[in-house]
Parts: sequence; C-alpha cells; structure tokens
Amino acid sequence: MSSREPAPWVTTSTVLQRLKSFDDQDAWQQFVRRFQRPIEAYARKRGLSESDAEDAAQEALAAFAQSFRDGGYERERGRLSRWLFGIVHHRIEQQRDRMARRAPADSVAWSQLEDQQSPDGVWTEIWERSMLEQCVAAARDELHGTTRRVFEMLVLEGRSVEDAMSETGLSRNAVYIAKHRALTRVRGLLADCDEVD
Amino acid sequence: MRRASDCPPLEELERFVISALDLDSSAWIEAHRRGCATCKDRLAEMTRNHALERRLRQTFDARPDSQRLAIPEFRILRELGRGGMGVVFEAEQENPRRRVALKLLRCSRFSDERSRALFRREIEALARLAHPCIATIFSSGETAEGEPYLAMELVAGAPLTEHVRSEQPDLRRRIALFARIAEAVQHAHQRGVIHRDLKPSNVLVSAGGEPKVLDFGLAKILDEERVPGESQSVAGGLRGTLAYMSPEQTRGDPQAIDARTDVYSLGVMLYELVSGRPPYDVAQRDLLAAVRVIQESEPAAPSRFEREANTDLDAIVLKALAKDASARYSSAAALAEDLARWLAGDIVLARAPSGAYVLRKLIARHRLAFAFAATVVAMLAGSATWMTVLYKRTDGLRIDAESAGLLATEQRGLAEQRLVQQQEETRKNYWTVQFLSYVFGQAQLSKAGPKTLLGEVVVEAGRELDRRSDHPPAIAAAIGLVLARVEASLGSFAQAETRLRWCIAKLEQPGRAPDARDADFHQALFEVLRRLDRLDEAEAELSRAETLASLPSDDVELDRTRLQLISDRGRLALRRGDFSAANSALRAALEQQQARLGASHEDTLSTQTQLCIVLQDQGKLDEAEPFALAALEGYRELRGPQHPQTLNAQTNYAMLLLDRGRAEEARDLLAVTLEAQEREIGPEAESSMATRNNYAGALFRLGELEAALEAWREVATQQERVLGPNSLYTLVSRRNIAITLVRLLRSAEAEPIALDVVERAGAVFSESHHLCVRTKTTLGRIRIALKRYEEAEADLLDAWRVLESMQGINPAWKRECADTLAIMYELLQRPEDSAIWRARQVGEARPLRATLGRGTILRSPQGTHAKP
Repeated sequence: MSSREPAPWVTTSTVLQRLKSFDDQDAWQQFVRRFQRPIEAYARKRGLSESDAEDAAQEALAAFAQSFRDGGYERERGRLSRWLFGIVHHRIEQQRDRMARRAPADSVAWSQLEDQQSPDGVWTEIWERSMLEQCVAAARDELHGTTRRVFEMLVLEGRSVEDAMSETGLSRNAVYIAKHRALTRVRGLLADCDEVD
Repeated sequence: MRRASDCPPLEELERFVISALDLDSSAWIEAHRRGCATCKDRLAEMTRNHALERRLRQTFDARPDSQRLAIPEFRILRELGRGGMGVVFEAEQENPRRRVALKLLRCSRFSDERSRALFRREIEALARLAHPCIATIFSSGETAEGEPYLAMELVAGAPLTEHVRSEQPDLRRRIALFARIAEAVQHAHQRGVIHRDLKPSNVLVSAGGEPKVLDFGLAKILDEERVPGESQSVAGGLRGTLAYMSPEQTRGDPQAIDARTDVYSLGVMLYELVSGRPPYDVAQRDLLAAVRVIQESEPAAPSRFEREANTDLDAIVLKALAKDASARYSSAAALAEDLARWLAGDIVLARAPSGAYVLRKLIARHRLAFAFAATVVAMLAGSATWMTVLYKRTDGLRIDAESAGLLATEQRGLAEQRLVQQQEETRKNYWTVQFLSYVFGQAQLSKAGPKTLLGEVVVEAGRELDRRSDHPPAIAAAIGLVLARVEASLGSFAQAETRLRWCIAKLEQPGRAPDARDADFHQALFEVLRRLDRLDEAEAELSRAETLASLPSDDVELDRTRLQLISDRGRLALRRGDFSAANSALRAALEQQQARLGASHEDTLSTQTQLCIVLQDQGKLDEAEPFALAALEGYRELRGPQHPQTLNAQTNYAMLLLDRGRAEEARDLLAVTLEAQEREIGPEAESSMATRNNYAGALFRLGELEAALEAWREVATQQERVLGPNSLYTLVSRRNIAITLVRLLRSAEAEPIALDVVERAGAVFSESHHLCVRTKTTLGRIRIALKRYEEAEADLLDAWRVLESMQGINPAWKRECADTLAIMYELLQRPEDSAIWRARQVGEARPLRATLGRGTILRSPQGTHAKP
C-alpha cells in the first residue's frame, strides 16, 4: 500500500474556473499536470523534438487558458478534448513551420511521420490513453485496502476472481462489488476530464 | 426453482453482461430485470463498467509475458515492438539454444479469420525466402491459448530511419544501402512474394551496415488463393501504411498489385533516403485527401533538398514513384541496376533517351563539349550536299521520269530507277533533318539557358550558317527556321526575329515562286512577335502565313499548319484582350484539330489549353475545368509528367483551383510545378516566371502578403531583364505589386507603379486593353486610400466606361470597378450614389492571377479587393 498522501482529484471545471484568476498558481499547476502530457505526446508524434514539443505544449496551454478566460469554450459546441485539439493542432503546425524554416537546407532532416492515422485520430488515441492513465492513478489514490487491491488484481493484472478472494479474504460477491465500485469511480473521473460545466 | 423476486448474485449479472450465461439463465435474468429496478440499474452500470474494463485491460495488461504466454521451446525475454496485427518479443529458444524474434498475432482469440489467414501467409512467404537481407524464419506454431506465432532470426540493428539519423552516411552510401534492400525485394519477387508494406521501419540495419527486410505480414503470394475480404475499398479500410502505398493500393484493387507496387514503396523510401523527407506529407491530411495526393500529386525533385543529388538521381526516384505502374521500373532489380549505374556515373535508364540528354551525358563523361558542338554544327550546317534534295518535290522528279518516258523503253526503265533512288534519298534526308530537329527540339526540354551547352551550340550553328554562302537559299532557310525556333524557346526572341527575317529574305529571292510551306516561316515570326507584344506586326505576319498556306499543295503537313493558324487567330485575340473573338477562333480550331489530328495531338492539346485560359479569364470556371483536365492528362500521356508543356498545363490547373477558392492546394501544386520547371527549363524561362508569379498569387490569396510582395518583386525584376519592361507579363507582375502594397496600407508606394503600368499598357497595347483598364481601377483604389477622391473618381469612371464597352469579359472585372466606386461614394457620404454602384456589383470580386498557356503564355491579370 502506498504511504504517500493521496492527492485529491479536482474537477476539470474547477481547475478551469480557478484559472480565470491569474494569481492562482496552484490551479495553473493542476491544469498543466492534467493536459501537458497528452499535448507533448501528440507533438512528438507530429515529429517535433522533445524541446520543441515542450515549447509547443506551453504555448498551446497558454492559448487554451486565455481562450477559456475569454469565454471561447462553449460546451454546446463539443467536448473539451475537441476544442483543445483545435488549439493544439494549430500551435503544433506553427511550431513545425518554424522548425522547417530553421532547418539548414542541406541537412538530412529525416521525417518521422509514417503514421497513417490522421492527426485527429492520433490525438484521440493519445488523449484517451493519457486521461485513462491519470484517472486510474487518481482512482488508485482514492481507493483503499481491499477495494484497491481487487481493482489492481482483476482489472490491471488480469488475475482471477479466485486469486483476489484468496489474497484479500473477501467473498465472491464482495470481490465483484469492489471491482465495480472502482470501475464506476474511474468512469466518473474520465467523464470529468472531458466535460466542463 | 428460483423465485423471480430473488436478486441474482453479482457474478451472475456480470456473466449476463458478457453473454456468458446459458439461455435459460439469461431468460430468467431478463425477466427479473423487468421487475427489479435495483438489478436493472446494476446491469446498466455493469455494462458501462465492462466496456471500461476492456479498455483498461488492453491499456494496462501488466502480466509478465513469460507468465501470459506459454510456448513450448521458447522463453519470452522482452517485448520488441507492436504492430497493427502482432506483437514481437525477444525470446530464447531451447534447442538449438539461440535468441530469436517471436511474433504473435495480437489478441488472436478475438481476431478474425482474415488476420489468421494473413498470419499464415506471412509464415508461408518467409518460408519461401532465403536471402542475406531478409530475416530467416525458424519455426511456427500455436501457443497454449491458441495464438499463432512464428520464430525468426533476431536482427540486432536499428530501423533504417534511425540508422540514417545516427550514422549520417553520405548520399552514395545511402544509395548503396538502398540498392541492397531493392535486391532483397527482388529476391522475394522472384519467389512470387510481394511485400506490400515496405517502409523504413520494416528494414533494420545491423551494426555492420547490412539491411534486413522484415514483416511480410501483408505479403501477397502470387500463386496462392486470395485471403477472404481482400478486395477492400478505400471506404472499407486500407491495409498497409498510407505514406508508402502506391496509387493502385489506395484504389483497393488487389488485381492491380504486382511487383511494381513494391517498386513504388521502394521509391518512397528512396525519396526519403535521398531528400530526408517524404514525397508527400500525407500525415497532415484526412484519408481521402491523402489518397488524392498519392494518386494525383507529383512530388518535388529530391535534388531540391539534397545538394549531392542530381537530375539523373531525380529521374530514377521519380520513375520509381510514377503514378502509372507501367511507367515505373518493371522490377526492383531494374531499379537497383539503375542506381548502380548512377553510382558508376553511367547513363541511367530512367532518363528518356533524348538526344540532348545522351549527348550531355557523353560530354560530361568525356569532356568533349567543343568536339560535340563542332560535330553537330558540321552535321547541321556543313553538309549541304545531302540536304539539297530536301526541298525538291517528288513532283519534279516525276516530270523527269515522264520526259524520259518519251525515250525508249529501256531508257524509261533507267529513269524510273533514278526516280526511286532519289525518292529514297529524299526520304532519308527528310528523316535526318527530322532527327536534328528533334535533337534541337530537346533544347526546349533541357535546362537550356543561353549559356548552357545547347545554347552555345545554337549560337555556333547560327554563326556557321552565316559564314557559309554555298547553301541553296531554301535549305539555308530551313536550317534557319530550326535554329530560330530553338532560340525562341530559349527566350532569345530578338535573335529569333533577326534569324527569321533573314530566312524570309532568302526565300523571297527573285525567281523563286512562293511555296505553301513558306507559311511556317511567317507563322514562326508571328509567334515571336506575339510574345514580344508587337501585336500589329504579329497580325501582319499571321495574315501572310494564312495567304501562303492557302496556296495549292499536296503536302499533308500543311493541313496541320492551316489548323494551327486558326488557333493562332485565337491566341492573338487573347493577347489583345478580345475574349469573345479568342473564344470562337479557338473553339473552331479545336473542333477541326480534334477531328483531323486527334484529341491527343499536341496541337489539339495546345489549343485546348488556350481555350481554358480564355474561359478562366471570362470567369467561366465550369466550362474551363474539363479543358484544363483534358490538357493536363493529354500532355502527361503524350510527354510525361515532367515535360515543360505538362508543367504548363499543371500551372493552369492550379490556377483553376485558385479561382475555385482552393488556395492551399493551388499553392502546393504551383510550388511543385515551379520546382520542376526551374529544374527542367531554368528559372528564367517564361513559364517558370509565370508560375512564380502565380505562386505569389496563391500566397496573396492565403493572406501571406509580405511573402507575396517579395515573390512578385523578384519575378518582376527577372521579367524586366528577360522580357523587357513593356512585356505584358512584366506589367502584370508590377500591377500585382501595386495591389499588394495597397493591401499592406502602403498606397503611396503603390501609386507610381500603378501609374506607370497604366501608361505603358496604354502605349504598348491600347487604352482599352484590359490590363490598362483594370490598372486604372487599381489606381482609383490607391487614390481613395490617399484621400484624393476627385482623381480617384476620374480614374474609376474612365475605367467603367471602357469596361462597359468590352464584350465577353469576366463580369468580376466590372464588379471590382463598381465596388470601388460604391466604397468611394460611401466614404464621401453620398449614400445614393453608393447605392447605385452597389446595385451594379453583385457577388464577390476575385483576386489577381496570371496563367500559363502553350509554351510560355501568361494569362491576363485580375483585380483584387483592396479596401481603402
């Protein structure tokens, strides 16, 4: 069992609302923690170097925060991930242009792009994976004792119900209850990532 | 017996969700659910949780592979990679003890029959192959859980991409490495295996620099039955990696797949190896757009990105990438062989075996430029004797024979024999001259600035022709015509004019009766004068040509000249800005050329191109489009994708895209075209300059005004130097500069430019020429911006009066003038006047442009919205 204090999950709506205050450093940190990774991963997939990807992510996040402050996000017009994608894609393409311009003409700048997925598809896959990872981590932090262990064994490690019963001492029905409680919580967290009030 | 009110345990509910219950139990739960709100909710939640659980399992399967996979004989060590269908592990085989790569069909319990069939086929394909550059298969089988696997040679190396990035081999070493890959692919082809998924990540390069081709997971075996569901369409999903897919693969037709499909993918890899970038950036596009790019776009020459590459290597790469499989190398071996020739500095087969190319290559290798030039000059101008008969008519010979007929029979026989001999000689000489014309005609296709080899040869040949006085006049004129045409194609219009006038003087010597074929000389002079914008003189030459061509003659070639002259009337009208006349003359010519020369004849295509330009200028885009496409397709078929005329047609098609608001596509196509033109005919050829002008237009349309301005300034300077300050095209570019300056709020700078264009266009063409009139509209806009409304009003009303009287013009030209007047009156707070002019401009005015026609013809420009 982990000894560290679980970090409480703050809803995305709250994070974004708090961003409206320029002084709220904590909110900014939360915001960056939640969204920087997928943006960087997407930028890397689009062929940017590590440092360029970092720059692009920073710029995209700043633009995203500013746009949110200005009321640019309208819930009716779609999910948060789609809106963010619009901003991210634009920033990264700008960064790619800058990169192309500064590359010396005679150097062999090998293209890394042989992915047949559309940018859109790449983003969706990265976004989903990143959010899934964050939500599973958050759920594990929140859950305690046997519920957490059952979740790990059954869902993450692919072990059997019998294994979980013998390790945790729970009844069969209790194992199922624990598993579904954990899954329901992960679903809730996932929904929160992409829906803003 | 279970009571309906008893809630089932959670395990049973879950089994119901995953459809793992027998029918009776399922029916019972179904019935129970209807009466139990708790279980109904639980089931709904469990269903949602189950979907998440599946996703989580896929994402975080944390079981160690050694535990998850039980394969007799093998111990899993680590995962090496995952592909679309399989997972590859490094494993240790017990007997013989060795490290192997173990490939498993991923999620095979759920995979369909098609995936299994493909996996089986990979095993079979590998079993057929034994080549040092192809990974060897050791064994295959199924895991305890029924997952098929294959064990193969473990290749310690980096993917091709990484190898190149880390080792930075020079171009020759990259090519040598690639040639080995092509040899391996050839080995597979010889054994009936088409790889179908060749890409850099499927080639590993060992530390010793030996490549290994991997992953035959999508291979096609030629003598085998098809895998079910193989005829997947685009909509049904494509197999393979899009960026490396051939056009026929993207069409989803398995029947079209053969060795040349792999040649194409090799071509993409070769392109990347040479230039460091893919031929097309398909990753940024959606699937259908990417497929269209693969099927239609021509890649830029790789030498543009790699200094060490040259046009020969370009030709090899582009031949491998030909859209039409029949235009590619027929095998990977042929590709490898041509690369070997390139490495050895030999003539490569990818280049069309044109006279100019072969000769250039010989010179490059043997450094005999002078000797060559001397030889050609001697052949062309020096051997007058074998050419003397060229212009003799067989009619004359027949008369000789008939005269002889009056003599005795044996003498008649002798005379007839002489006739046959002379006819043969005539034919031979005719073909010799044809050949020379062809060689010189190639000058138009090569990078022939006046300073290059062929330019020098022409100059030398011209001097030789002047020096020799022993040529019969008709022969000297015939040679002069060939030279003049080459000179004109090199942009040396002044020399061409002088030479043609010299030729015509030779023909007009006393005692020589005019011949219908003399029309060719006047037609050529017309073309030169038209290009120099001396339109009245040009028209006089055209009339002379028409008169001569109407003389009686049985020369079949004359028919072509006569049709060309009809088309020329249309060209002249277009240059004069008389679109209605141009339209009807070109349509008349086209109809006859199609009927008598055929739809794919170069003259027909040329007329089609001109007609397309006229229609675009008239704003009739829907009518123009089929002509643009037909011309482009026709030239591609007739001349190949890199021929200057094909490139012109490509520019015209791009302009159509631009007019249709597809500016990004137009810009990309223009960039590719420009690159090819600069390579093929040099940056200062008229066509290249026109495309650069149009490229600037696309930038303008995309809002990149500074870049557009810079591009126009560059091209205007070039045009002024090459074509002179009064050329239509120079003036078009300068007007575009003025318009862009207005847009950039630099109207004071724009004014003197626009004023100068108005004056020059008025003097060179006429006050009612569209360029003059439309630049007056521009001037009006500039003066509005400078708040000099009275002058602006005078300019604009003046322009309007002329526009009103013009027939068959693009309605947008009138709109832009009326629009400007409306804006001006609005600014002057005269709403009633403004309303009157508003009522005259319905719809949107369109931005500026210029288009290429036959050879090097720019289309007239158009105005743009430059709001004051």
